[in-house]
Amino acid sequence: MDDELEPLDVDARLRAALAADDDAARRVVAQALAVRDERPQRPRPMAAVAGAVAALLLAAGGGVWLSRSRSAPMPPAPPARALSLAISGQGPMVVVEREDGRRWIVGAPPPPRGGGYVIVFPK
Amino acid sequence: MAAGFITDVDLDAVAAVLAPRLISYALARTGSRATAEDIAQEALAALVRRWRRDGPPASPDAFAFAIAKRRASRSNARRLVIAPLDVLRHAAHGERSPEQAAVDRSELAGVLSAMRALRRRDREALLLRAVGELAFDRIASLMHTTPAAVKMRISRARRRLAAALSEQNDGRRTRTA
Repeated sequence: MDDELEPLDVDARLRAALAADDDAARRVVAQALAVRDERPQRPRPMAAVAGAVAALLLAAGGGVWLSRSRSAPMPPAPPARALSLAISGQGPMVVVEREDGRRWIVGAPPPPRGGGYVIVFPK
Repeated sequence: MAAGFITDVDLDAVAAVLAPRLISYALARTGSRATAEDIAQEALAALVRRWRRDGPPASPDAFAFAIAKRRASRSNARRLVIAPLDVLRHAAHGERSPEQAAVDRSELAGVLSAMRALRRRDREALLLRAVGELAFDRIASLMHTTPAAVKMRISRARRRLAAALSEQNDGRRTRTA
């Protein structure tokens, strides 16, 4: 032992009292050597660092995208859709019906008379 | 294996040398041979796993003793919690545990009793040196202190242990006379 000047009989007595028996030591060695590495492999430090950096970048990108999407002006609303008209009827009279329920009955123009107009009846 | 020149033969040899030292150390820390064997085996198994996965550590003995030290502390803490239950169980039967009876009869009982009189860190340093046969700098690293402080602790522990054992011997002689 390095630079120990004291008598070491105390150490010797300690070792003798605590001595392990050979069978126990052999048993311990055999069982320790029989172990297999069952624990899942931990990711290597570099892989862990790379994963952390990737996650950080992803989170930062997501944050930027979110903040931009919030601060951007709302897109203009789509133009109001033109209401469609349904035309039905037979003969010289047709019924024009709009989606909102308004109807017009349109007839053939009357024979030319004095005024020359068309009467439209809202239903 | 990380280091190609290291073979399992080396590992076997290291394990064979370390096992009795680990058992002795754990026995001194816990006072129980069964627990000591468990702790030694766990420490050696950890060394074996590490060795096979990444190659041998810089100091296999320091590696194994660091684990044994932690396991022994954990085991002692656990025993402190369940000790009252054990006392009650044995008191109920009016007997000592067989393990305790065996320990009481041996030289081991005297040494363990004398060891308990030492300061905790002095005792730890002495055990790692005398039983673990670790170098001062390794002990210092394990105990988070300096080699000079370790030497001082070991020296003080030896003196006190020698005195305590001497007192025990005197007491026995007086009783038998």
